[in-house]
Amino acid sequence: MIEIGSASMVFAKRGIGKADANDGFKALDNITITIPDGCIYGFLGSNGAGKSTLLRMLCGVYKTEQGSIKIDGEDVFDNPSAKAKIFFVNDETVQYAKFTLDGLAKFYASYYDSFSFEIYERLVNQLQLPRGKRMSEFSKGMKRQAVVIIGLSCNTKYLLLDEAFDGLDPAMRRFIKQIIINELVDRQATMIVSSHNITEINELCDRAMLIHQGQMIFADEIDNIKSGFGKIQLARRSGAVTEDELKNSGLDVMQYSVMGSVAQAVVRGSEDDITAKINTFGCEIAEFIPLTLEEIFIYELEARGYGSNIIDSSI
Amino acid sequence: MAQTSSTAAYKISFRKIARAAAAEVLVHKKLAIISFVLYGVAFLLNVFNSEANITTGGYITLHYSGWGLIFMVGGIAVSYFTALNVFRDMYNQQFCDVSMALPIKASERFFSKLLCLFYLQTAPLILSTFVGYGIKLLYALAKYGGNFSDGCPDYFMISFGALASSMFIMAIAVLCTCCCGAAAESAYLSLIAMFIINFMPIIYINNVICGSSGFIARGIGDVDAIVDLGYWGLMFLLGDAEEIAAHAAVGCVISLAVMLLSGFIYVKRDARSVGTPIASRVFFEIIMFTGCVTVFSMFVMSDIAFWGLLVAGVIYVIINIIVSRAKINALSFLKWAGKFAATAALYSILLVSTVTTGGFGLINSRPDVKYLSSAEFTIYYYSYESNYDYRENTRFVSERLSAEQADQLIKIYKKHIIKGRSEMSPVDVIFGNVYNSSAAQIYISAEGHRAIPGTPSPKSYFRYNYNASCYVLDYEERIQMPLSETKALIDELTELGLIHPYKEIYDTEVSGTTVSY
Repeated sequence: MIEIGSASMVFAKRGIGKADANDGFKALDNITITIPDGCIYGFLGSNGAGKSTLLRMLCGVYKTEQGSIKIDGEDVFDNPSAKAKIFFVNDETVQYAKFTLDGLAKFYASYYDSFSFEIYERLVNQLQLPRGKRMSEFSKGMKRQAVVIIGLSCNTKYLLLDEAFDGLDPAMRRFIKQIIINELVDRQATMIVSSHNITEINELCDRAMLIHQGQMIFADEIDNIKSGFGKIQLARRSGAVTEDELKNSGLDVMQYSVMGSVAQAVVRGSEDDITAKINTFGCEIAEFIPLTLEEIFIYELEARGYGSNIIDSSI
Repeated sequence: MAQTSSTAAYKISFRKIARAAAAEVLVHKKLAIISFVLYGVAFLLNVFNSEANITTGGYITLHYSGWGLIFMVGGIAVSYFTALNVFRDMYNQQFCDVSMALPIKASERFFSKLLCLFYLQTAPLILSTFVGYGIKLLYALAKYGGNFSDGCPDYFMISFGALASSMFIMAIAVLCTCCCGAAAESAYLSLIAMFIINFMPIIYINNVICGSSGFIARGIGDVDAIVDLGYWGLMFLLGDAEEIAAHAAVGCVISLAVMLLSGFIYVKRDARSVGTPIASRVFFEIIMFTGCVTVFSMFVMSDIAFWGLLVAGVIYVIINIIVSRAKINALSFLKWAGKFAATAALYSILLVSTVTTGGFGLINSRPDVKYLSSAEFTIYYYSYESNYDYRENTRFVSERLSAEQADQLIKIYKKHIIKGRSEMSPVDVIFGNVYNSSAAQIYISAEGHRAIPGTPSPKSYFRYNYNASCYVLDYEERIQMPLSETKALIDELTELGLIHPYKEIYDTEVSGTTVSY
């Protein structure tokens, strides 16, 4: 189990200097989540939200100076026994350019006692990647496949993938995901994947977290997340239901729009609770529509002003 | 319990280090091949192209291969790139992600990188020098007889010399990569640091300390203090064979210590400082300060001292602009100007202390002439008013003086110099105000005629005469002092009959050459 408790991260400004909470850039602010064993956890967030920073903290690339990160009860930074349970695939593959696939396998086998050449052989044969060719000659998709093979072959309890499916065509994306799931399910491993692709997270993960500008917006099981939001459409002959009426009824309104006598709003809460409240407005039509994860993502970020400055400037 | 866990934190696994080092070598295969080719060729040349002869005295001498040396220098140059590359996780985010996520302690990772440097650089270098020349030497011993110690000075000089050079370069590159978070800063600050370590002491001693005392060093090896500093850097080359070998061996130990000390910075760093040009502010400030001291010292004690300030200032600002990747504003320039002014002020204090103490007392030192049978002196002075006719009016020579007379002359000379210098403004000395009507520049030189064998001290006043196999007096000073004191010095020496005006007559009838009396 991974426990992240009130973890924060401050970066110094570029140039000479030391990280200072007042002067530096706060990439993560007080993040607290628990990632249970055997789940597939999705980190969702806008660009620069702090997903990669959190993944780097999880694998001990960044030292956690505020808060704590525990891997099965152990601190991870500079702790080989905790790190031996983690394999991190970052969002670039340039660092592997000089390696051949076999060379990369040997490299990681030198560090991971758990490295399985049996898994490696099986996956390489399955994906039919060239073993003796330098990875600089691989296509972007092939490089991704190669790193995922190595990650799975390291046979760790936790697999951390940062935008790992970028560059794969849809068919290969599906194929790779299936391979990962099969491997992880077999050994009850945990995968944490960060992505902008909400559909992917929706398909792959059973839990997810949304972060924006370093702050956690929500973290829960995907089904719970989805059931915590809804879009309502209200039509009232005597006049459209106002935003104040909605708020006064106790609804948590994220977005509101009106067209004639029809009001539309995105609200937080369970379907039962929202339905009970909207039935009190005396509307001719009162409809609850569940949101997709993608819609939740967009509305949550819009509610925090994300992208509005770009839209404003384009108008 | 707490003690046990803290002890465990410092435990390292040698098996892990060895495995990680082997993996690291695989990553740097190309650099390994380049090193092996260069040192391999050097090894063959050192075995087959060097010469080991026997002297008439029955000693074995080793004459190293020039071509072998060239290839070794090539290999040593590669050590710079090797060290920068092996420690690239300190400045490249992608490699840092790979490296720091690996299940190995930072200290083990650091030692594995040092071991990798040993495999890639040190081991092949040892093969090409210690083993290569060792084979040649053993072959000569088998052929001519004798013992190993006959060829030792040359053997150890070249072997330890090459090893010390390589280790020095790697130590600086490792230190800089551990203190910098960007490839560019790691690379150019390494080169700047190497320059400073080698040249700052020499320039300060040779130009400022010696300049303050009036002593002129004709070669950097003339100054004992500089030779003594040759334990680290590439300055071990200053001594003779035995000195070079000893200095280089000590240099290797110092380089190793620097590499190990860099480990304290390495283990403390995480990926946050990767991409930041400077990870250690203290390191950067030391480089900037010592760099300024080096540039200032090149220019002071002359009439271009002001330009030193300007050149150092411009370099200071340029480096700060490069290092500050963030937006630069007026405040940045003000900060740099303030720091530069503080550096210049500190240097000024050091400079004035050096000048007012006559090079920390070096002005009081005199050659010990008791071993000489005789010596001849030449004294002349330049001043603004006499510059154009100094030959007739300001040049004085001595007859062949006995050792006692030579000592007397030097004592009188020193007395006037110390008095004269105390009357001069340090600013005039620093800014090299030679050509004004109240100051003169005195030049004194002496040549001894016989010396007993052995190394006299201070060495700087003596020169080894290879023909006579002994040290001879070779004394030279050039110093500024008030004209009035200069004339008093000349008058006193003339009255005592120790010197007389120099006359030069062009004798066309006899030989067509210049003769002097």
